Order: sequence, then C-alpha cells, then structure tokens
Amino acid sequence: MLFCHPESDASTAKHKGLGKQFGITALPGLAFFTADAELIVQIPASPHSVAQFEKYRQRAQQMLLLRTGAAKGEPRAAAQWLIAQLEERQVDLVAGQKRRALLAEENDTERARLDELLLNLQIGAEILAVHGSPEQRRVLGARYLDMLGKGMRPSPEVTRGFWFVILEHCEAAADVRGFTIGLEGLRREVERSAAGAEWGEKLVRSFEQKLEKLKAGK
Amino acid sequence: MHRAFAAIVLLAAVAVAQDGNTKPTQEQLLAAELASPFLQKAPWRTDWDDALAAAKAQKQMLFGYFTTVNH
Repeated sequence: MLFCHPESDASTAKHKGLGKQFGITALPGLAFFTADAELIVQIPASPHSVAQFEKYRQRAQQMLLLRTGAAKGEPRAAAQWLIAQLEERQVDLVAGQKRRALLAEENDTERARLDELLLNLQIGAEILAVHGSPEQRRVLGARYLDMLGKGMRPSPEVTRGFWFVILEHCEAAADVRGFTIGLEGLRREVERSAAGAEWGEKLVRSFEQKLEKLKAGK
Repeated sequence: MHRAFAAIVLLAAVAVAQDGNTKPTQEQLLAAELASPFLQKAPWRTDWDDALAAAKAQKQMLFGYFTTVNH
C-alpha cells in the first residue's frame, strides 16, 4: 500500500507535520508502517535505490514477524526483536538495558550482538556528554583505546566519534601505535558508511597525513 | 500477511511554470507536487486515513514517502 505525503506549509495541506509524528524529520523520508499506523522501520537517508527499498521491505516483514513472536513469548523472537530495534535505533540505552534484563534467555550470538549494540549507545551518550570539551574528549579517547586493548569492541555501526576521540587522544599523546589503530577503525567506518564518497576519502586522507607527521616527529 | 505492494518509482521534479518575477505560492507548489508523474504511475494515496484503511482491508504494510514541496 503506497502513501505519499508532500509536506507543505500550504493552508490546504492535509496532515501537516505527519512525518514528524513518527520521528521522520529529514525529507524525503521513506518508511514502512503497519496498518495500525505503527512505524516498523525507516529507510536510512542514504542514496535511495531499488535494492535498498527491497532490502528494507524484507527487513520490515522480518521485524513484524519478530514482534509478533516476542508478543507470544517466544524466547528467540524476544531477543532478536530487541536486537532489531536496537539496530534500527528505535530503542535508547536505558530502555534497551531494561528490556534486556527482562529477556528470558540469550544465546551466545544474541548476547554478543546485544553487548556491542548497547555499548554503541553508551559510547554515543558519553561522547555527546563531552561535546565541546577537547580535554574531556581526549580522556574519553584514552579510555576507549584501553577498552579496545582489553577486547571490548563496539559494533561496526558505532558512531564515528568513537574513532575521532581515540585519534585526538593519540595525536596529543604522540602515540603512533594507538593513532594507527584509530585510523584503521575510522577507515573501516568510512568504507561502511560513506561507500566511496569523496568526503569520506578526504577525511581519511587528512588523518593519514597526521599519522605521517606523528611518525616523522618520533 | 500478503506481500507488500512494492512500486518502483522515480520522483520526477515538476517544474512549476512561473513568470520571472513571481515566486510560486505554497498552494501552487503543493498542487504541482500532487500532479507529479510518479504519483500517476502507481496507486499512491495521499490521504493517511484512507491509506491505513486500505492497508488494513488488504492486510498489507504501508510504504510511506514523505517529501517536501519546497524545491
């Protein structure tokens, strides 16, 4: 079922602000809904394609099945429904932690995925909290580098800021090894999210140049 | 659940005819958007309640396309 809503300030416009009700603020916005007007999943704001549409159509159907299964009390469905909602950023950190505590069981794969997704959210909140303070960002970067060294890893979808604060710390500390680790992480994140875009390549290059300067300074 | 109807469409920008000195009104822009070729090519609905009712009757998901008329 297709629905098109042109957002307009026209006095005759129907359903003003409809998209906003569902958290769709960046236009154009594409999303799947149930017939009860519940948002199932929103297609990310990346270059839209047929393949992307099809991928998210299937994702929407999968999420509906998981939600139904979770409502029926199926243990696998409950964990996987929470994972799906975390992946689609439909659940915040506090709600995610509460719901996880209520899960009857998690298998090893689900446990690992929930760990990294909730860690992503925690990292996002921590970075937001130190926004505007270069010193606190570097402190956070040092902690995250240490965390990586101990084997705790966020998922590939972690905010780019995670790598930025690590790089900022390592640059200030003239830590070539740590900067290399951060740069590799940033490179992977940009490959995943920027898909060859020029801005992504420029960004990585700028940090590669910083690495060369760091090495030269040793 | 029936498979959601998936229509592959491309949004065609509709140029609003205007003289050189007059900016189109919001109503004109909205009318032009609603007259877009893509909206004629597939059974898009522009009434939310109507679309929901149809989706419920046909046991389908709803695919929503939210756009702006401020080109």
